Amino acid sequence: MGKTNASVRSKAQSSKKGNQKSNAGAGGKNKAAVEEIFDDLAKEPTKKLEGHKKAIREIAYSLSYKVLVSVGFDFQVFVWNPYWEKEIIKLDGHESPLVGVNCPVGLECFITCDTKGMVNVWNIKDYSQMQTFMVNNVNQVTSMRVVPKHRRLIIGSRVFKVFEYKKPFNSDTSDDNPILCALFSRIRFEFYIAGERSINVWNAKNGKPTRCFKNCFESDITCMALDKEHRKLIVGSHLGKIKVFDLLSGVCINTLESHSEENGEISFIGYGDEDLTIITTAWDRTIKVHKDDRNENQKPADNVLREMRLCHKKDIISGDYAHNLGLIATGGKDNLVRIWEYERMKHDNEIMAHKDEVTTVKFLKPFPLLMTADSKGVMYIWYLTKDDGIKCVVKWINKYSMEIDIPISAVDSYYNEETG
Amino acid sequence: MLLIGDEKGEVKIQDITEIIKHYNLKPIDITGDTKRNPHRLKPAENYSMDQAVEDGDNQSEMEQLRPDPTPELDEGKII
Repeated sequence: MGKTNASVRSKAQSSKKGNQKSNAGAGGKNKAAVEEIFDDLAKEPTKKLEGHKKAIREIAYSLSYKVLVSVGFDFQVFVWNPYWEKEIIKLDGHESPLVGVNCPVGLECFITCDTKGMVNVWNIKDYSQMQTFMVNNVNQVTSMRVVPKHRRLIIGSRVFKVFEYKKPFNSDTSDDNPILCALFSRIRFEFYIAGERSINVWNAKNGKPTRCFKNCFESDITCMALDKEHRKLIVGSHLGKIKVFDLLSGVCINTLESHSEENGEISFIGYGDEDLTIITTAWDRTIKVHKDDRNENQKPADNVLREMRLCHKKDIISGDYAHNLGLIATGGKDNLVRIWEYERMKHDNEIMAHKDEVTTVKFLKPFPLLMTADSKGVMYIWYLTKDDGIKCVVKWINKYSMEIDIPISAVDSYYNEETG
Repeated sequence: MLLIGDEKGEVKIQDITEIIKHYNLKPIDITGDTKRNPHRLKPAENYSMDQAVEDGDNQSEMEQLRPDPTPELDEGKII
Protein backbone atom coordinates (compact mmCIF):
# COMPACT_ATOMS: atom_id res chain seq x y z
CA MET A 1 0.00 0.00 0.00
CA GLY A 2 2.54 2.51 1.13
CA LYS A 3 0.13 5.43 1.30
CA THR A 4 -1.63 6.88 4.26
CA ASN A 5 -4.58 8.10 2.22
CA ALA A 6 -5.64 4.61 1.28
CA SER A 7 -9.35 3.93 1.14
CA VAL A 8 -10.72 1.28 3.45
CA ARG A 9 -13.87 -0.81 3.15
CA SER A 10 -15.49 -3.61 4.98
CA LYS A 11 -16.13 -6.68 2.89
CA ALA A 12 -19.10 -7.71 4.97
CA GLN A 13 -20.95 -4.53 4.36
CA SER A 14 -20.38 -3.88 0.67
CA SER A 15 -20.32 -5.77 -2.56
CA LYS A 16 -17.39 -5.79 -4.96
CA LYS A 17 -18.91 -2.78 -6.64
CA GLY A 18 -19.46 -1.27 -3.22
CA ASN A 19 -18.37 2.18 -2.38
CA GLN A 20 -15.12 2.93 -0.64
CA LYS A 21 -16.44 4.87 2.30
CA SER A 22 -14.74 4.04 5.54
CA ASN A 23 -17.85 4.39 7.68
CA ALA A 24 -20.97 2.55 6.58
CA GLY A 25 -23.79 0.64 8.16
CA ALA A 26 -23.43 -3.13 8.57
CA GLY A 27 -25.88 -5.83 7.72
CA GLY A 28 -25.14 -7.87 10.79
CA LYS A 29 -24.26 -11.03 8.86
CA ASN A 30 -22.50 -13.69 10.77
CA LYS A 31 -19.57 -13.99 8.40
CA ALA A 32 -16.00 -13.35 9.24
CA ALA A 33 -15.14 -9.82 8.24
CA VAL A 34 -12.03 -8.72 6.44
CA GLU A 35 -10.77 -5.22 6.09
CA GLU A 36 -9.39 -4.40 2.70
CA ILE A 37 -7.09 -1.50 2.13
CA PHE A 38 -7.11 -0.06 -1.35
CA ASP A 39 -4.47 2.03 -2.93
CA ASP A 40 -6.10 5.02 -4.59
CA LEU A 41 -5.05 3.82 -8.02
CA ALA A 42 -5.28 0.08 -7.50
CA LYS A 43 -8.33 -1.93 -8.46
CA GLU A 44 -7.47 -4.72 -6.09
CA PRO A 45 -6.90 -4.32 -2.36
CA THR A 46 -3.24 -4.01 -1.50
CA LYS A 47 -3.67 -5.42 1.97
CA LYS A 48 -6.22 -7.41 3.93
CA LEU A 49 -6.49 -7.03 7.66
CA GLU A 50 -8.16 -10.14 9.00
CA GLY A 51 -9.25 -10.61 12.56
CA HIS A 52 -12.86 -9.71 13.15
CA LYS A 53 -15.12 -12.71 13.56
CA LYS A 54 -18.29 -10.84 12.67
CA ALA A 55 -19.24 -7.89 10.53
CA ILE A 56 -17.39 -4.65 10.95
CA ARG A 57 -19.49 -1.65 11.74
CA GLU A 58 -17.10 1.27 11.64
CA ILE A 59 -13.46 2.12 11.11
CA ALA A 60 -11.62 5.22 12.24
CA TYR A 61 -8.12 6.32 11.37
CA SER A 62 -5.93 8.46 13.58
CA LEU A 63 -3.83 10.73 11.45
CA SER A 64 -1.62 11.67 14.39
CA TYR A 65 -0.89 8.14 15.58
CA LYS A 66 -1.24 6.35 12.22
CA VAL A 67 -3.47 3.60 13.53
CA LEU A 68 -6.73 2.16 12.32
CA VAL A 69 -9.37 1.23 14.84
CA SER A 70 -12.22 -1.05 13.80
CA VAL A 71 -15.33 -2.16 15.63
CA GLY A 72 -18.15 -4.49 14.74
CA PHE A 73 -20.60 -7.08 15.88
CA ASP A 74 -18.05 -9.22 17.71
CA PHE A 75 -17.82 -6.95 20.82
CA GLN A 76 -14.10 -6.39 20.33
CA VAL A 77 -12.16 -3.30 19.35
CA PHE A 78 -9.28 -3.96 16.93
CA VAL A 79 -6.34 -1.59 16.63
CA TRP A 80 -4.31 -1.97 13.45
CA ASN A 81 -1.15 -0.71 11.92
CA PRO A 82 -2.31 -0.31 8.32
CA TYR A 83 1.08 -1.49 7.07
CA TRP A 84 0.91 -4.78 8.94
CA GLU A 85 -1.57 -7.64 8.51
CA LYS A 86 -1.89 -8.56 12.16
CA GLU A 87 -3.69 -6.36 14.61
CA ILE A 88 -1.69 -4.44 17.21
CA ILE A 89 -4.16 -5.27 19.94
CA LYS A 90 -7.70 -6.52 20.53
CA LEU A 91 -9.52 -4.66 23.27
CA ASP A 92 -12.28 -6.11 25.40
CA GLY A 93 -14.51 -3.67 27.11
CA HIS A 94 -17.92 -4.06 25.59
CA GLU A 95 -20.61 -6.63 26.20
CA SER A 96 -22.76 -6.00 23.18
CA PRO A 97 -22.19 -5.28 19.50
CA LEU A 98 -20.34 -2.08 18.82
CA VAL A 99 -21.88 0.66 16.74
CA GLY A 100 -19.10 3.17 16.30
CA VAL A 101 -15.57 4.35 16.83
CA ASN A 102 -14.12 7.85 16.53
CA CYS A 103 -10.60 9.25 16.80
CA PRO A 104 -11.18 12.90 17.77
CA VAL A 105 -8.61 15.24 16.29
CA GLY A 106 -6.37 16.79 18.92
CA LEU A 107 -7.23 14.29 21.61
CA GLU A 108 -4.97 11.39 22.48
CA CYS A 109 -7.78 8.89 22.60
CA PHE A 110 -10.38 7.04 20.61
CA ILE A 111 -13.97 6.48 21.65
CA THR A 112 -16.09 3.39 21.13
CA CYS A 113 -19.77 2.83 21.76
CA ASP A 114 -22.00 -0.25 21.78
CA THR A 115 -25.70 -0.83 21.19
CA LYS A 116 -26.54 -0.80 24.90
CA GLY A 117 -25.07 2.65 25.26
CA MET A 118 -21.76 1.82 26.88
CA VAL A 119 -19.13 4.34 25.83
CA ASN A 120 -15.43 3.64 26.32
CA VAL A 121 -12.66 6.17 25.99
CA TRP A 122 -9.30 4.56 25.21
CA ASN A 123 -5.83 6.01 25.44
CA ILE A 124 -4.43 5.90 21.93
CA LYS A 125 -0.87 5.72 23.22
CA ASP A 126 -1.08 2.65 25.43
CA TYR A 127 -4.64 1.40 24.68
CA SER A 128 -5.63 1.62 28.32
CA GLN A 129 -9.22 2.40 29.25
CA MET A 130 -9.46 6.04 30.31
CA GLN A 131 -13.16 6.35 30.95
CA THR A 132 -16.35 4.32 30.74
CA PHE A 133 -19.87 5.58 31.02
CA MET A 134 -23.38 4.47 30.15
CA VAL A 135 -25.81 6.51 28.13
CA ASN A 136 -28.99 6.33 30.14
CA ASN A 137 -32.53 5.85 28.89
CA VAL A 138 -31.68 4.53 25.45
CA ASN A 139 -33.01 1.30 23.99
CA GLN A 140 -30.77 0.72 21.04
CA VAL A 141 -27.87 2.96 20.22
CA THR A 142 -27.32 3.11 16.47
CA SER A 143 -24.53 5.61 15.99
CA MET A 144 -21.95 7.80 17.65
CA ARG A 145 -20.14 10.85 16.37
CA VAL A 146 -17.63 13.28 17.86
CA VAL A 147 -17.92 16.94 16.83
CA PRO A 148 -14.50 18.34 17.70
CA LYS A 149 -15.33 21.95 16.89
CA HIS A 150 -18.01 22.04 19.54
CA ARG A 151 -16.46 19.42 21.83
CA ARG A 152 -19.57 17.31 21.74
CA LEU A 153 -20.07 13.59 21.65
CA ILE A 154 -23.41 12.74 20.08
CA ILE A 155 -25.01 9.37 20.64
CA GLY A 156 -27.83 8.47 18.29
CA SER A 157 -30.71 6.14 19.08
CA ARG A 158 -34.36 7.15 18.78
CA VAL A 159 -33.19 10.38 20.31
CA PHE A 160 -29.88 12.19 20.26
CA LYS A 161 -27.91 12.35 23.47
CA VAL A 162 -25.25 15.03 23.45
CA PHE A 163 -22.29 15.01 25.82
CA GLU A 164 -19.79 17.77 26.30
CA TYR A 165 -16.14 16.87 26.67
CA LYS A 166 -13.10 18.83 27.68
CA LYS A 167 -10.30 19.26 25.27
CA PRO A 168 -6.80 19.37 26.68
CA PHE A 169 -4.96 22.56 25.99
CA ASN A 170 -3.41 22.87 22.61
CA SER A 171 0.33 23.28 23.15
CA ASP A 172 0.58 25.89 20.41
CA THR A 173 -1.79 28.37 22.04
CA SER A 174 -2.69 29.01 25.64
CA ASP A 175 -6.38 29.47 24.91
CA ASP A 176 -8.89 28.44 22.28
CA ASN A 177 -10.35 31.93 22.26
CA PRO A 178 -8.77 35.36 21.92
CA ILE A 179 -7.38 36.43 25.28
CA LEU A 180 -9.35 39.36 26.61
CA CYS A 181 -7.48 39.98 29.84
CA ALA A 182 -4.90 38.31 32.03
CA LEU A 183 -3.65 38.56 35.60
CA PHE A 184 -0.71 37.20 37.54
CA SER A 185 -0.81 36.35 41.23
CA ARG A 186 2.57 36.71 42.88
CA ILE A 187 1.12 35.05 46.00
CA ARG A 188 -0.34 31.96 44.32
CA PHE A 189 2.13 32.02 41.46
CA GLU A 190 -0.62 31.54 38.92
CA PHE A 191 -1.82 33.19 35.75
CA TYR A 192 -5.54 33.84 35.21
CA ILE A 193 -6.34 34.14 31.56
CA ALA A 194 -9.80 35.08 30.33
CA GLY A 195 -10.96 34.10 26.88
CA GLU A 196 -14.58 34.69 25.94
CA ARG A 197 -16.61 33.48 28.94
CA SER A 198 -14.09 31.23 30.64
CA ILE A 199 -10.96 31.69 32.71
CA ASN A 200 -8.03 29.33 32.52
CA VAL A 201 -5.70 29.09 35.50
CA TRP A 202 -2.07 28.32 34.75
CA ASN A 203 0.63 27.28 37.17
CA ALA A 204 3.47 29.76 36.71
CA LYS A 205 6.06 27.31 38.05
CA ASN A 206 5.54 24.46 35.64
CA GLY A 207 3.58 26.25 32.93
CA LYS A 208 0.70 23.78 33.09
CA PRO A 209 -3.01 24.54 33.15
CA THR A 210 -4.50 23.70 36.52
CA ARG A 211 -8.13 24.81 36.56
CA CYS A 212 -10.77 26.27 34.32
CA PHE A 213 -13.74 28.39 35.35
CA LYS A 214 -16.26 27.70 32.60
CA ASN A 215 -19.05 29.96 31.40
CA CYS A 216 -18.67 32.63 34.07
CA PHE A 217 -21.15 34.91 32.29
CA GLU A 218 -23.63 35.00 29.45
CA SER A 219 -21.32 37.45 27.69
CA ASP A 220 -17.57 37.91 27.28
CA ILE A 221 -15.31 38.70 30.20
CA THR A 222 -13.83 42.16 29.93
CA CYS A 223 -12.03 42.77 33.19
CA MET A 224 -10.58 40.98 36.24
CA ALA A 225 -9.02 41.86 39.59
CA LEU A 226 -7.66 39.98 42.59
CA ASP A 227 -8.45 40.71 46.21
CA LYS A 228 -5.68 41.61 48.64
CA GLU A 229 -4.91 38.04 49.74
CA HIS A 230 -5.45 36.63 46.24
CA ARG A 231 -8.21 34.34 47.43
CA LYS A 232 -10.89 35.84 45.25
CA LEU A 233 -11.12 36.80 41.62
CA ILE A 234 -13.50 39.60 40.73
CA VAL A 235 -14.66 39.39 37.14
CA GLY A 236 -16.64 41.83 35.00
CA SER A 237 -18.51 41.19 31.78
CA HIS A 238 -19.48 42.85 28.56
CA LEU A 239 -23.07 43.18 29.80
CA GLY A 240 -22.06 44.99 32.98
CA LYS A 241 -22.26 42.03 35.35
CA ILE A 242 -19.73 41.58 38.15
CA LYS A 243 -19.11 38.34 40.02
CA VAL A 244 -16.69 37.27 42.73
CA PHE A 245 -15.17 33.80 42.40
CA ASP A 246 -13.35 31.70 44.96
CA LEU A 247 -9.95 31.19 43.37
CA LEU A 248 -9.39 27.69 44.65
CA SER A 249 -12.77 26.15 43.90
CA GLY A 250 -13.88 28.39 41.06
CA VAL A 251 -17.27 28.80 42.73
CA CYS A 252 -19.09 32.11 42.34
CA ILE A 253 -19.38 33.38 45.90
CA ASN A 254 -20.89 36.79 45.35
CA THR A 255 -22.60 38.90 42.73
CA LEU A 256 -22.18 42.65 42.83
CA GLU A 257 -24.64 45.19 41.60
CA SER A 258 -24.47 45.35 37.83
CA HIS A 259 -23.76 48.33 35.67
CA SER A 260 -26.16 49.09 32.84
CA GLU A 261 -26.88 46.05 30.67
CA GLU A 262 -27.35 48.19 27.59
CA ASN A 263 -23.99 49.92 27.49
CA GLY A 264 -22.36 48.92 30.73
CA GLU A 265 -19.29 46.94 29.71
CA ILE A 266 -17.02 46.83 32.72
CA SER A 267 -13.88 48.75 31.85
CA PHE A 268 -12.05 48.52 35.16
CA ILE A 269 -12.17 46.64 38.46
CA GLY A 270 -9.97 47.63 41.40
CA TYR A 271 -9.66 46.27 44.91
CA GLY A 272 -9.51 48.43 48.02
CA ASP A 273 -7.16 46.08 49.89
CA GLU A 274 -7.79 46.21 53.66
CA ASP A 275 -10.86 48.40 53.09
CA LEU A 276 -12.50 45.33 51.53
CA THR A 277 -14.05 47.38 48.78
CA ILE A 278 -14.33 46.84 45.05
CA ILE A 279 -14.17 49.76 42.64
CA THR A 280 -15.79 49.35 39.22
CA THR A 281 -16.08 51.61 36.20
CA ALA A 282 -18.08 50.92 33.07
CA TRP A 283 -19.05 52.25 29.69
CA ASP A 284 -22.27 53.54 31.27
CA ARG A 285 -20.11 56.43 32.59
CA THR A 286 -20.59 55.31 36.18
CA ILE A 287 -18.12 54.63 38.97
CA LYS A 288 -19.22 52.41 41.85
CA VAL A 289 -17.56 51.49 45.11
CA HIS A 290 -18.96 48.20 46.41
CA LYS A 291 -18.45 46.58 49.78
CA ASP A 292 -16.79 43.17 49.34
CA ASP A 293 -19.25 41.50 51.63
CA ARG A 294 -21.75 38.73 51.11
CA ASN A 295 -24.92 38.78 53.06
CA GLU A 296 -27.75 36.61 51.82
CA ASN A 297 -30.31 38.95 53.32
CA GLN A 298 -28.99 41.89 51.35
CA LYS A 299 -29.40 42.75 47.72
CA PRO A 300 -26.29 43.58 45.68
CA ALA A 301 -27.46 47.20 45.59
CA ASP A 302 -27.21 47.34 49.38
CA ASN A 303 -23.48 46.74 49.08
CA VAL A 304 -22.87 49.82 46.96
CA LEU A 305 -21.22 52.37 49.20
CA ARG A 306 -20.80 55.18 46.72
CA GLU A 307 -21.80 55.79 43.13
CA MET A 308 -21.09 58.60 40.72
CA ARG A 309 -23.00 58.67 37.45
CA LEU A 310 -22.35 60.59 34.23
CA CYS A 311 -18.70 60.90 35.15
CA HIS A 312 -17.71 61.56 31.55
CA LYS A 313 -19.45 62.95 28.50
CA LYS A 314 -18.92 59.62 26.76
CA ASP A 315 -18.12 56.04 27.81
CA ILE A 316 -15.49 55.34 30.45
CA ILE A 317 -13.15 52.96 28.66
CA SER A 318 -10.25 52.83 31.10
CA GLY A 319 -9.70 53.20 34.82
CA ASP A 320 -7.31 52.67 37.68
CA TYR A 321 -7.33 52.94 41.42
CA ALA A 322 -4.41 53.96 43.64
CA HIS A 323 -5.04 52.70 47.14
CA ASN A 324 -1.97 54.51 48.44
CA LEU A 325 -3.27 57.85 47.11
CA GLY A 326 -6.99 57.27 47.63
CA LEU A 327 -7.65 58.25 44.03
CA ILE A 328 -9.55 56.78 41.09
CA ALA A 329 -8.61 57.75 37.55
CA THR A 330 -10.93 57.31 34.57
CA GLY A 331 -10.28 57.70 30.88
CA GLY A 332 -13.11 58.32 28.47
CA LYS A 333 -14.10 58.25 24.86
CA ASP A 334 -14.47 62.01 25.32
CA ASN A 335 -10.63 62.22 25.32
CA LEU A 336 -10.63 63.26 28.97
CA VAL A 337 -8.90 61.87 32.02
CA ARG A 338 -10.67 62.57 35.29
CA ILE A 339 -9.43 61.96 38.78
CA TRP A 340 -11.78 61.22 41.65
CA GLU A 341 -11.45 61.02 45.40
CA TYR A 342 -12.13 57.43 46.34
CA GLU A 343 -13.37 58.15 49.85
CA ARG A 344 -15.74 61.01 49.08
CA MET A 345 -16.34 60.18 45.42
CA LYS A 346 -15.67 63.77 44.50
CA HIS A 347 -14.16 65.09 41.29
CA ASP A 348 -10.57 65.97 42.08
CA ASN A 349 -8.92 66.95 38.84
CA GLU A 350 -8.99 66.69 35.09
CA ILE A 351 -6.52 66.22 32.25
CA MET A 352 -7.45 67.64 28.86
CA ALA A 353 -4.38 66.86 26.82
CA HIS A 354 -5.34 63.89 24.70
CA LYS A 355 -6.79 64.38 21.24
CA ASP A 356 -8.15 60.84 21.06
CA GLU A 357 -9.94 58.30 23.25
CA VAL A 358 -8.05 57.61 26.46
CA THR A 359 -7.49 53.87 26.39
CA THR A 360 -5.13 53.59 29.36
CA VAL A 361 -4.80 55.27 32.73
CA LYS A 362 -2.34 53.77 35.17
CA PHE A 363 -1.03 54.99 38.52
CA LEU A 364 2.68 54.36 38.87
CA LYS A 365 2.58 53.19 42.49
CA PRO A 366 3.73 54.05 45.07
CA PHE A 367 4.44 57.51 43.63
CA PRO A 368 1.94 60.26 42.81
CA LEU A 369 2.44 59.64 39.11
CA LEU A 370 -0.19 58.82 36.52
CA MET A 371 0.45 57.47 33.07
CA THR A 372 -2.18 58.04 30.38
CA ALA A 373 -2.33 56.88 26.79
CA ASP A 374 -4.75 57.28 23.91
CA SER A 375 -5.85 55.29 20.89
CA LYS A 376 -3.19 56.92 18.68
CA GLY A 377 -0.32 55.80 20.87
CA VAL A 378 0.29 59.18 22.51
CA MET A 379 1.43 58.75 26.12
CA TYR A 380 1.91 61.13 29.02
CA ILE A 381 3.19 60.82 32.56
CA TRP A 382 1.66 63.28 35.02
CA TYR A 383 2.81 64.33 38.48
CA LEU A 384 -0.17 64.74 40.81
CA THR A 385 1.02 67.39 43.24
CA LYS A 386 -0.80 68.31 46.39
CA ASP A 387 -0.65 72.05 45.95
CA ASP A 388 0.23 72.82 42.33
CA GLY A 389 -2.30 70.61 40.59
CA ILE A 390 -1.18 68.28 37.83
CA LYS A 391 2.14 68.69 36.06
CA CYS A 392 2.93 67.20 32.68
CA VAL A 393 6.19 65.36 33.23
CA VAL A 394 6.82 63.79 29.86
CA LYS A 395 5.07 63.08 26.58
CA TRP A 396 6.03 60.55 23.94
CA ILE A 397 4.51 58.51 21.14
CA ASN A 398 4.74 54.77 20.74
CA LYS A 399 6.21 54.45 17.27
CA TYR A 400 6.41 51.35 15.12
CA SER A 401 8.26 53.21 12.42
CA MET A 402 8.85 56.85 11.57
CA GLU A 403 5.41 57.06 10.00
CA ILE A 404 3.32 54.60 12.01
CA ASP A 405 2.19 55.17 15.59
CA ILE A 406 0.89 52.17 17.50
CA PRO A 407 -1.67 52.30 20.33
CA ILE A 408 -0.60 50.63 23.51
CA SER A 409 -2.72 47.81 24.91
CA ALA A 410 -1.21 47.04 28.32
CA VAL A 411 0.77 48.89 30.98
CA ASP A 412 2.26 47.91 34.29
CA SER A 413 4.89 49.32 36.60
CA TYR A 414 7.31 47.81 39.03
CA TYR A 415 9.07 49.36 41.99
CA ASN A 416 11.35 47.58 44.41
CA GLU A 417 11.16 49.23 47.82
CA GLU A 418 14.63 48.03 48.79
CA THR A 419 16.58 48.78 45.65
CA GLY A 420 14.50 51.74 44.50
CA MET B 1 10.20 50.33 35.68
CA LEU B 2 7.39 51.01 33.26
CA LEU B 3 6.27 48.04 31.17
CA ILE B 4 4.34 48.79 28.00
CA GLY B 5 2.75 46.38 25.55
CA ASP B 6 1.35 47.58 22.25
CA GLU B 7 -1.01 46.37 19.57
CA LYS B 8 1.88 45.17 17.40
CA GLY B 9 2.82 42.74 20.15
CA GLU B 10 5.93 44.58 21.25
CA VAL B 11 6.77 44.92 24.93
CA LYS B 12 8.93 47.84 25.99
CA ILE B 13 10.57 48.35 29.36
CA GLN B 14 11.32 51.91 30.31
CA ASP B 15 13.25 53.21 33.25
CA ILE B 16 11.47 56.14 34.87
CA THR B 17 14.04 56.62 37.66
CA GLU B 18 14.89 60.02 36.18
CA ILE B 19 11.36 61.27 36.95
CA ILE B 20 11.60 60.11 40.55
CA LYS B 21 14.98 61.79 40.93
CA HIS B 22 13.91 64.99 39.19
CA TYR B 23 10.98 65.60 41.53
CA ASN B 24 12.60 63.87 44.48
CA LEU B 25 9.51 61.71 44.80
CA LYS B 26 8.90 59.55 47.85
CA PRO B 27 6.44 56.68 48.12
CA ILE B 28 3.09 57.93 49.38
CA ASP B 29 0.62 55.98 51.46
CA ILE B 30 -2.39 57.73 52.94
CA THR B 31 -4.02 54.55 54.23
CA GLY B 32 -2.55 55.09 57.70
CA ASP B 33 -4.59 58.26 58.13
CA THR B 34 -6.91 57.63 61.07
CA LYS B 35 -9.49 60.07 59.71
CA ARG B 36 -10.13 57.89 56.71
CA ASN B 37 -13.57 56.40 56.35
CA PRO B 38 -13.49 54.09 53.34
CA HIS B 39 -16.96 52.75 54.11
CA ARG B 40 -18.55 56.15 53.93
CA LEU B 41 -22.04 55.86 52.50
CA LYS B 42 -22.96 58.35 49.85
CA PRO B 43 -26.14 58.27 47.79
CA ALA B 44 -25.73 57.90 44.05
CA GLU B 45 -25.36 61.23 42.33
CA ASN B 46 -24.74 62.63 38.88
CA TYR B 47 -21.56 64.47 38.13
CA SER B 48 -22.81 67.90 37.24
CA MET B 49 -19.97 69.63 35.40
CA ASP B 50 -20.92 68.31 31.95
CA GLN B 51 -24.68 68.47 32.45
CA ALA B 52 -24.69 65.13 30.62
CA VAL B 53 -24.20 66.88 27.29
CA GLU B 54 -22.43 64.70 24.76
CA ASP B 55 -22.49 66.56 21.50
CA GLY B 56 -23.05 70.09 20.41
CA ASP B 57 -21.10 71.53 23.31
CA ASN B 58 -18.25 72.76 21.13
CA GLN B 59 -15.95 70.36 22.87
CA SER B 60 -14.17 69.35 19.67
CA GLU B 61 -13.57 72.96 18.67
CA MET B 62 -12.21 73.69 22.11
CA GLU B 63 -9.89 70.71 21.86
CA GLN B 64 -8.45 72.02 18.64
CA LEU B 65 -7.78 75.39 20.23
CA ARG B 66 -6.40 73.98 23.46
CA PRO B 67 -2.60 74.21 23.57
CA ASP B 68 -0.62 71.05 24.23
CA PRO B 69 0.78 70.85 27.75
CA THR B 70 4.50 71.44 27.94
CA PRO B 71 6.35 68.47 29.38
CA GLU B 72 8.86 69.33 32.06
CA LEU B 73 11.21 66.52 31.09
CA ASP B 74 12.58 65.46 27.76
CA GLU B 75 11.25 62.12 26.52
CA GLY B 76 14.81 60.99 25.93
CA LYS B 77 15.24 60.76 29.69
CA ILE B 78 12.96 57.76 30.01
CA ILE B 79 13.48 55.96 26.71
